Amino acid sequence: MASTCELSKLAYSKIILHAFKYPHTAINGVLLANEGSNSQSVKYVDAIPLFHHNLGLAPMLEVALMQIDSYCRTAGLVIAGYYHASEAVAEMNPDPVSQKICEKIAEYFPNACLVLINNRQLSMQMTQTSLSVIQYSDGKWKVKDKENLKILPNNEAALNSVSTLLSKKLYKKFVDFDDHLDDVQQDWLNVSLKSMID
Amino acid sequence: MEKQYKHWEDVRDLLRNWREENCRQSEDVVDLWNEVLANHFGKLGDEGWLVLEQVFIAALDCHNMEVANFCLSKLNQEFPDSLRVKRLKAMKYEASEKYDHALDILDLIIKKDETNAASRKRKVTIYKSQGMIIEAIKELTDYLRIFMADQEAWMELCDLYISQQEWNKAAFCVEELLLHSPFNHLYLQRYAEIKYTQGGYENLEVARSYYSQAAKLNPKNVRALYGLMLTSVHMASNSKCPSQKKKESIKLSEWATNQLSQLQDSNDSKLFSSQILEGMGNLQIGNDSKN
Repeated sequence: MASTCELSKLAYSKIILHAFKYPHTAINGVLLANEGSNSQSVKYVDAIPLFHHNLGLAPMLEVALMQIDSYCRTAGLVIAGYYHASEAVAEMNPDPVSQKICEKIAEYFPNACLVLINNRQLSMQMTQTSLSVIQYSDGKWKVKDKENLKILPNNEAALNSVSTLLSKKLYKKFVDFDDHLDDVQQDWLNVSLKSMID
Repeated sequence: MEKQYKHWEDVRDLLRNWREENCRQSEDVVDLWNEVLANHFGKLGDEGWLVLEQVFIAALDCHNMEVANFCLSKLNQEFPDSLRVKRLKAMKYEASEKYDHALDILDLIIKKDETNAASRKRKVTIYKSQGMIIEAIKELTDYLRIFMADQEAWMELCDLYISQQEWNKAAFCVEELLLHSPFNHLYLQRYAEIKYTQGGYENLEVARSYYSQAAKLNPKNVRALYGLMLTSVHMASNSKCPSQKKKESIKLSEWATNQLSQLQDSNDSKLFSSQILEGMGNLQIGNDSKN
C-alpha cells in the first residue's frame, strides 16, 4: 500500500529558500494541504517557515500554529505536515522536538509527514531533491521510499526552478515566523515571493 | 545587499561595523572582499590583518576554500608563531571536517596558553558539529567553571540544554545571565519561554511574571507580548487559579493584545490577534497539563 507524498513547486521552493537563508542553524516549518485531502496520498500545496532559533521552545510555536491555523481556515487549507533541517550537516535523523510536533499535527491530520532536509545534498545548482520523508501512521514512524516522494510538476523542472531562485539570491528576501516576531511588518506568508516562484 | 559599494573605504567601514557587532554576514563579506577590498588590501594598514581574519572566517562559512587559503597564507606569513593564527588553522580543519587534526592543534594551543578562551570554545563547536551534544555540554561546563563571566558561553550552554530538553539546566543558565544583566528584556523573555515549555501551573505563573517584566522593559518585544497573552489566558482558564489572579490575568492579556494591535499596522495581521484568543485551547504543545 504505497502512498505518495507530493510537494508543489511552491512548497518545495519555500523549504529550500528557508534552508538557504539560515544555513548555519536548524530550521523548521509546517506543510499545508488542501482541506479534505486524502491523507493516504498527500499533496502539500504550500509551506510556512517557522523558526531558526530555539526550535524546542513552546510558546512561540503555539502562537505561530494558531496564526497559521487561522490563515488556513480562510484559505481552505490544513496543517498537514512538518519540515525540518538539522543544524549539524551530517544529521539525518529527526530530533525529539520534530517528532513531538509532527505527532501533534498527526492528531488533526492522520498520516502527517515529516520532511527532513538532507543538508549534504543542497547546493546552488540543485541536482537532487535533498529531502527524505517519514510518515506517522498508527502510532509509528515509517520511512517513505524515494520513489514515493514527488515534486510537481516533475522533479527536474522543480530543481531547475529552485536553482534559478537560488542564483538570484531570493532567499535573502525570504521571511520566516522568527523574522516576523523580530519585525511585525515582515510577511511570513511571503506573498510577494510567491509570484516570483510561480 | 542592494547598495553597490564602489568605494573601498565604505566597504572597510562596513566590515569594521560587522566585526564590532559580531554579525554573521558571511556571503556578503566574501563578495565585498572579492569585488572591492582585495584590490585595495595594501591601503588598509594594520586593520588589514583584522579584515583578513574576518574574511577567512566568512570564507570558511561559505566553504570558499580558495579565499580562505589566500587569507590564511597571508596571515601565516606575517605572524608565523601566532597562537591566534594557529587557531584559524584549526578552524580550517574543522571546516574540512578533519576534526581530529583540529582538536590536536587546539589542545596544543591550550597547553601553551591555559587562558586561551577562544580555543576552548572551538573545541565545543567541534563536538557540536559532529552531533556529540553531550560531549559539547561537558566541555562547555568545564569551560564555564573557569571563565564564569562569559555571557556568550552561558547562552550557548542554554541552547544546548534546550536541544536536550533539560529545562531546569537551561533555566539555570539564563539565571546566570540575569545575574549579569537583570534588565535585559531578552534574557527575561528567554527565561519565561523555558518555564512555559516546562509546563505546570507554577511554571506558568513564573513565565507570566517574567514575560510581564520583559514587556515592561520593552513594550515592543513582540515575543514577550504574545507570551504574556498566552500565559494570562492559560492561567485564567486554569482551575488552580484564584479569582483575584484570574482578573489580573484577564487585564494583562487585554493590555498585551492592545500593544500587539498597535504594533501591527497591516490589515492582514489585525485579523490574527483576535483569532488567537479564540483558538487558544486547541494547539497546546508544551508539557503543560491544564489539570
